[in-house]
Amino acid sequence: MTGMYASVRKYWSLTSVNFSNQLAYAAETVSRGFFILVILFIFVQLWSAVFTSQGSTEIAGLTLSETLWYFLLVEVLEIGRSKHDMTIAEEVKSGTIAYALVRPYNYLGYHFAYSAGETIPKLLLLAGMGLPLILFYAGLPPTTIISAVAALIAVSLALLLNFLIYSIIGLAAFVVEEVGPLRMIYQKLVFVLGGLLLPLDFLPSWLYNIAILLPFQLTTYAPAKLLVDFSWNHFGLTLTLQALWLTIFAVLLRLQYGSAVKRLEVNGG
Amino acid sequence: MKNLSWLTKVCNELSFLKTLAGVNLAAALAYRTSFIVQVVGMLLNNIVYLCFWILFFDRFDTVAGYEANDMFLLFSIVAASYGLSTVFAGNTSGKLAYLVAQGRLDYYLVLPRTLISHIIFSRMQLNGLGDLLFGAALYLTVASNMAELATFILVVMLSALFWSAAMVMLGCLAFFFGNAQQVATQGEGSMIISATYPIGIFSGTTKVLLFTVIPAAFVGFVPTQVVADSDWLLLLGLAAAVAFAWLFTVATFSLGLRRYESGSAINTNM
Repeated sequence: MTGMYASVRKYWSLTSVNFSNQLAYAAETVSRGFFILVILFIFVQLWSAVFTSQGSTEIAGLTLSETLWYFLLVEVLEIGRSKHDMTIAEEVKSGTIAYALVRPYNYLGYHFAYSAGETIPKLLLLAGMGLPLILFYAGLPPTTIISAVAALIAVSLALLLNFLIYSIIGLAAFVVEEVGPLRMIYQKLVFVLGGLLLPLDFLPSWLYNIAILLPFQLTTYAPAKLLVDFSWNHFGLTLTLQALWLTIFAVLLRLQYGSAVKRLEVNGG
Repeated sequence: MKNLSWLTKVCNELSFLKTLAGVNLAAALAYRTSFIVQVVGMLLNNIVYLCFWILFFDRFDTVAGYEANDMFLLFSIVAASYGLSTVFAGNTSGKLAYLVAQGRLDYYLVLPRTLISHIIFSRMQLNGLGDLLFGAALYLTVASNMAELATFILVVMLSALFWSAAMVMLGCLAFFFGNAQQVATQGEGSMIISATYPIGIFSGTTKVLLFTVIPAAFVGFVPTQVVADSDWLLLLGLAAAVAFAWLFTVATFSLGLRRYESGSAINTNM
């Protein structure tokens, strides 16, 4: 029990160190967040124009207000996500991973704890920056306590899923060295099949039926949809799919990590 | 005689820039895999956005007066002109801001060349080639005749000149605000994203901003109207905007250069 407590404290200290880093460079963090305002402003204008031109208050079950709140959450989740895959890839390419592996912590556990210290304040900051804009154009959020709690659970699992997927991409540097294209392909799949540019509800039904089963939407669309248009059915489906894809990616990551460590060759001193 | 000397100078400058572009391209091709990855990566990036617009117009026939073909024309012009600008004049925006903030202009200052063109043409952004190819290919899907194709090529060249002026201007911010790399990069991103949406979705005040503070209208809406309507008067307006943008940028660059502080770092340009 003492060992477990010490372990939790060790990883928590990593999280809090990076959390402090983010606060120390708050101005830089805020300036990076400026871009979300531009994107959200353009989406507000675009979707307001769409609803006006359609002459209806609802499109595919979503009102304009729900659509704008949806975009706030998906953009915050995508822009604010951890970029630890870049660090992992850099450590693999430079060989510094060899030093990290002999330290008294689990390598992936370290990245999880450290990136949490960056991701949590970044998500809060981005949400805080986008909130006044969306409040101004969309009014109060179309949400209830149940939908907010459901979305929060889905967001937590989405962050975990993102961590697993991007860790796999980062560790792919053991095989392909340059992982930039892999990262970009995954991001672009999230853009279209994850509902980042267009809520999945607006897709043709054949594409919706495919996209809803894939992992891309579980990190963006699913939590945002639960926030603005909650249903127990969708909540159940989201949790089931998140659990399924988390298991699949955790197994894949475990296998990949084991094989990668075996392939590690250390040269020089 | 004076005119001839001016002409010789322009020819010399163009010949120098051609050599610079050749050297940059040769350096890029030395890492062939990286070259292909960057070009294909950008093509893929643009294809994803194209998919978005296809799905969007599949669901909504029209938005703010734009139909699918109007959007494809706008997208093709923005992509091709941005690509043309960055593939040759790649040392702009955040990269220029970095050079200024780090005091790394010394290398260029001691050489007997036109400073601003030497700096910006010293780096090629290979992914710009992906944008250029994508823009050209997309335009061919909506092209109607040869005369329109000629207009497209002309406006892409003018818009590329506007892009370069705007991105040099963003880089110049570092002369006045120090570390402006982040701001310049975000400014570039904001201009790209603002240019690739129909201008009709924006209100009056925002439209004014798109013609002034974030002048995305001159690389998106205006050139698209020139091609779509064969509006020669608007073409002249675009050319005038490009000339004004460059005069303003060169003046700002010259003013900024007076505030430039040399760095003590020794650096080698390869």
